[in-house]
Amino acid sequence: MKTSSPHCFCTLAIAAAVTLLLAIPARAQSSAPGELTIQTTAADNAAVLAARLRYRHARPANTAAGQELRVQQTAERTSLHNGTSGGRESREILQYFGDVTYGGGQVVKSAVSHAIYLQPQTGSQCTIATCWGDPEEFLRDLDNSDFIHVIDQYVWLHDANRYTVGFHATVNYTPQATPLLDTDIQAIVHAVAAKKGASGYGHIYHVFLPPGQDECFDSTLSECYSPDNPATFYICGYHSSVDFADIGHVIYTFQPYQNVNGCQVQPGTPNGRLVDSADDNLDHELIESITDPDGDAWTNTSSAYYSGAEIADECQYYKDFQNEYLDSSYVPTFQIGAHVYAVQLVYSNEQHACSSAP
Amino acid sequence: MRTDTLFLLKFSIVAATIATLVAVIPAQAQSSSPDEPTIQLTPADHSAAIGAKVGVHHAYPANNAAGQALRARQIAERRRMNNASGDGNFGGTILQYTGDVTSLGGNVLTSAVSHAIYLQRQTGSQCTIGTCWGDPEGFLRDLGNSDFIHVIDQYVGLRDANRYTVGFHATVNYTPQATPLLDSDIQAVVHAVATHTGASGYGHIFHVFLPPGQDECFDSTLSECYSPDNPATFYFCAYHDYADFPDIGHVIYTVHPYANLPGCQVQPGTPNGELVDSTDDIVNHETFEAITDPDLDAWRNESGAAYLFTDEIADECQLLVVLDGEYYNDVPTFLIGAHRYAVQLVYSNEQHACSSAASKGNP
Repeated sequence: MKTSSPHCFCTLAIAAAVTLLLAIPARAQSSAPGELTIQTTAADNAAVLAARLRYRHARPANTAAGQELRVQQTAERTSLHNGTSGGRESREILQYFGDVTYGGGQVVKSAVSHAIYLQPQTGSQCTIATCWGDPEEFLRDLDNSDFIHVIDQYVWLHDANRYTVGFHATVNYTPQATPLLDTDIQAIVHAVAAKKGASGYGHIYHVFLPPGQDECFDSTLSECYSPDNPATFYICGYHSSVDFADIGHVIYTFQPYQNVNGCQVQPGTPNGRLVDSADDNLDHELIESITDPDGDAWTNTSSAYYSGAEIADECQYYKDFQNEYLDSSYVPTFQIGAHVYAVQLVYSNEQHACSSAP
Repeated sequence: MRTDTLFLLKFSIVAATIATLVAVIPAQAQSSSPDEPTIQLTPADHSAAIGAKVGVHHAYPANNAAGQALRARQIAERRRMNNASGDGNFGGTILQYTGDVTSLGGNVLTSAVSHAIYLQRQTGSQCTIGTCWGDPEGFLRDLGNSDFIHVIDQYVGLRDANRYTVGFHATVNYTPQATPLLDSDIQAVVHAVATHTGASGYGHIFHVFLPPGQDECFDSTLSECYSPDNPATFYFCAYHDYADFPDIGHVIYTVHPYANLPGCQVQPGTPNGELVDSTDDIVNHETFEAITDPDLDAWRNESGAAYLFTDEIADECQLLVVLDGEYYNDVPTFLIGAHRYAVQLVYSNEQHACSSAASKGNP
């Protein structure tokens, strides 16, 4: 899937992806068996143009723009359902408005997570630890935790070690004045997935952006991760799925830098705000990728306020630590695998509550 | 506070529609019976409405795009410091009930008498209470005698029976104008009735019913309204609020535009028909919230839950269904007092659920 031709005059939608291609240094693509350095190619960009975006579900930022996005997502995804009404004459009716219902789509019964780290080719760089903490260790702990088994009820399996960690890849790029687009993220995911031959429901790609790198859904630049531009600062992360013509279905999550107002967790968490903020968003998007990878599996279809929400959406709490609009995610601290983390819970139909264990 | 004089008043724009109400009141007996007064608004009512300190309307958003926007704005405007649950647990399972409400310490209505106020057009088509609204007072009587009402015992700290009763009803005749009624008009109506009957304070709730086709807006900007004929401003189906009048003090009221239309109505097939159950569903919603959060500083969701922040106990239990492309309130059918109704449930902290009856262990 590689090419040495550096020039491609494509549409606006893939302009940033071209930049990525130009900036990749001429060096070995893999520094170790589990650590790829990937170069996006013209074929990746073409694959994105031909791809069908199956689904994208964003985690709204804790901002005014993010509230708008939440409303928009709710309005777009309210759909026909069979409510709990009608004809009951028993003394007591109880309705659990947070309960999610199954729409019949695919769930991810088991999967390998792969981390993709974007690193600026020029200017300040950071290590994985200083940019994002240790997301892969969090994923390993999650796989070995009680917490992950909250979702057993949604995938109808109870086995251990179903959600493991695979390789990680680094993509070098030269930042531009304009934000990256989701099509750029898809091109990166395509490059990595094609290189490794890892696609389908058994793999989830987590794309991590460095501090200061904005990203938007599309070339309108209207709904973005953009802490430097509050008017378009709608999202802290999202999960998505795309069908490529060559490698098929690919599931990915988008993980911009979380330790900013509007995305970060509250102060004082056990691993520090950078680490716990990154892990909190990863936790949210991974679990939703498993239970609703294509937007047609487990969602709330009944509540006026929750309709369209997935199981992590329903358990987001905010708290204002800044005395301003940009709030923090307010997360509990608990044991996940071998370590203590501060990340949000997810909704359990069985417990009718946000839960840390089945 | 009554007068037989017809007034042509030139108030500010806020009072313009109120003046219309005054001018068109017929020279008829003000009360057909002690329990069924026909009330005439006076300049004192208008002045009282202008001078009143009003609350922040707590609206029942319409099931449409504008209503969704209102829902988001209410959350955004009313965020405040809160204490979420679930921090620092290193032991067993952590469970967070996102729907649980907390008290901010404000007043609740430990008991109250509900009074219905029906607005009737002076000209054009009129309708009876039965054909316009069904029998909201019958519903309120059944509610007061039901298990359902005792879901709120946990919030008001009492478990006695018959705490929420029904008093008089009043009719206000008016001539519709090209512009919608305003909340200040509703306050003037409530002031007139409360003054006439001497009923104010936390022991009384006034329910103001608007006839079909009558729009109403929060204020003279006409930007957030009940306006089925204008989807861009059709934000709410009803609301509850309060006003502090200089003369008669604190008054609690709810506003009920015609509910049997898309955006506000319940799903088809309910036992009493869509008109009756749609009206009662919203009366139910606003009454429960007026009792547990009359001044918007008592029981509400302060947990910080992203989708539920500042919701009251009825807000949280609004379920929707889409049938043939239309949104409906998806309400269960159950026995309330002596009759079956199709109305929404309300949230119970004790049960961590929307409930139709107090949890076991409560009378």
